[in-house]
Amino acid sequence: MFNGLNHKALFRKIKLVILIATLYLSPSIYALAADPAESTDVEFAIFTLNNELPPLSKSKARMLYRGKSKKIGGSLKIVLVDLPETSMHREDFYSMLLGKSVTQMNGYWAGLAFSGKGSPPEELDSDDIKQILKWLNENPNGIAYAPIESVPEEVNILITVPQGE
Amino acid sequence: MLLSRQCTIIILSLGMIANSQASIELTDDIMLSGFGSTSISKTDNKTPLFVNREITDETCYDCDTIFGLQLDVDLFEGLDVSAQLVKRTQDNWSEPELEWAYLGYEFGDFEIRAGRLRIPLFLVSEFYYVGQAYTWAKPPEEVYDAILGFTSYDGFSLAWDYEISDELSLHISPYYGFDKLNEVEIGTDTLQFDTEYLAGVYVDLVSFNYRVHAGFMQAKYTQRPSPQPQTLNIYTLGVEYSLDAWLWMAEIEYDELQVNWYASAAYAFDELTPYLVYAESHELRESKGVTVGLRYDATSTISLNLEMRSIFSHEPGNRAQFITSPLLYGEKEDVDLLSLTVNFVF
Repeated sequence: MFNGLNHKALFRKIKLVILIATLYLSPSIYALAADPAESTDVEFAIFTLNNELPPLSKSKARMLYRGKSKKIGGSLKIVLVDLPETSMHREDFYSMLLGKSVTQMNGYWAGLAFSGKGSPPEELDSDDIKQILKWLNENPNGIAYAPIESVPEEVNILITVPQGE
Repeated sequence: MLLSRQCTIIILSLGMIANSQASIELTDDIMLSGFGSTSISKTDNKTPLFVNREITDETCYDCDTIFGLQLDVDLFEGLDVSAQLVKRTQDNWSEPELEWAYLGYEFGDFEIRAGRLRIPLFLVSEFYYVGQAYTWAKPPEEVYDAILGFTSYDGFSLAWDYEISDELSLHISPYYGFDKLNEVEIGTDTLQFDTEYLAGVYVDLVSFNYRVHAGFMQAKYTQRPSPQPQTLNIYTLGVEYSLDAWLWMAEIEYDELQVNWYASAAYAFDELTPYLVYAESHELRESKGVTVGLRYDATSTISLNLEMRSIFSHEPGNRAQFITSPLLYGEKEDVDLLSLTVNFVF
């Protein structure tokens, strides 16, 4: 289709750039790769330390984590926190709740952030439950997620994923 | 010769960004973030293709280059300032454009913004310059170039958010833009549009996996040197729906001069997303086009797009998606475009 004299040269260049870019990036790609074999039967809790927050419906939880809603009960503005990108829990959580990969989620957040409609959740340095609880302590309207077995009993669980309610 | 300076720059910047955080928090209340895209593009037609990009049959390394910086400052509860400086495809690096700069105030379910704002006609209008945020290498020109790529206005907007239910919210936003001179360069000519005012409204129906966007805008302008004012009424409707790994989008634009639409489907296999777009333009521009593309998400902040596009026109003399009639270049009406694009955000 391309009859130009140097179309072969263009394809060679393109191949070269892809190759170089791939090689250059490969360490970070490996670092991000999670093992999907281990991630089948985790159950997550979406929770808070604020006892005034009402339980969430699955629809509401999905709206919040897609950045399409920022409030609970019509007026209470809530804040989300995310686990680090290297955390396998993060990949599992978004895949279970929204059917989306972390990469797709980052694309959505870029769209929201660069249109002045919201900013992505703050990201913790580790997915350790102590870190999560510390953040929730500092953010009274904060909501976090974690595998249900790591969540202490005294927190306010708003919904579990994938079971719901 | 093969690896030009441009490629070296791309590769070096990829490396820098690959290991950095997605945005820089200067203090708790000040955030600096950025985005960019660049490509290697080539067509099989001498006539420059697309307003503001002008891609020809000579391999082009900077026809699609965009770089933007955004600064967000929270002044106090509810009041914020945001500014976006963008080197658009048509700008020189030394002359970037202040694409938006506004003061926003949020109270309850309302938000008012004043300053330079983005014209919100289409689904991705508000992040038009951020390639990382949509699947394609660039939004379909058939629809997005309908008003010659004008993207901003100086004025104010009001937005009202209403949660209909747990899974559905309504967003209504009227806006008004004051007198502004818009210029667009077509080849070596500069077209000047003196906009007396523009007024519009858009309505969004938003659920977690779909969005319906309906817009109306009226603009009164004179195209210099003609003293005759003209009024254009633009209607837009867009739908975006995602189910699991699928993402479907379709949009239509209608005004007194033209009708344009596209439909797009994409399927994400982990990092690889193949996509297909079909688009048509009628009246002002006459063309039908197909895009086949592959997006590769290298990391969560960098992606590559390989795109092959064919645009057909059956009306000799019509400019279709070119900047002018291909007859002026002694060329055929049809064109194929091949491009490799890199997008990033930080």
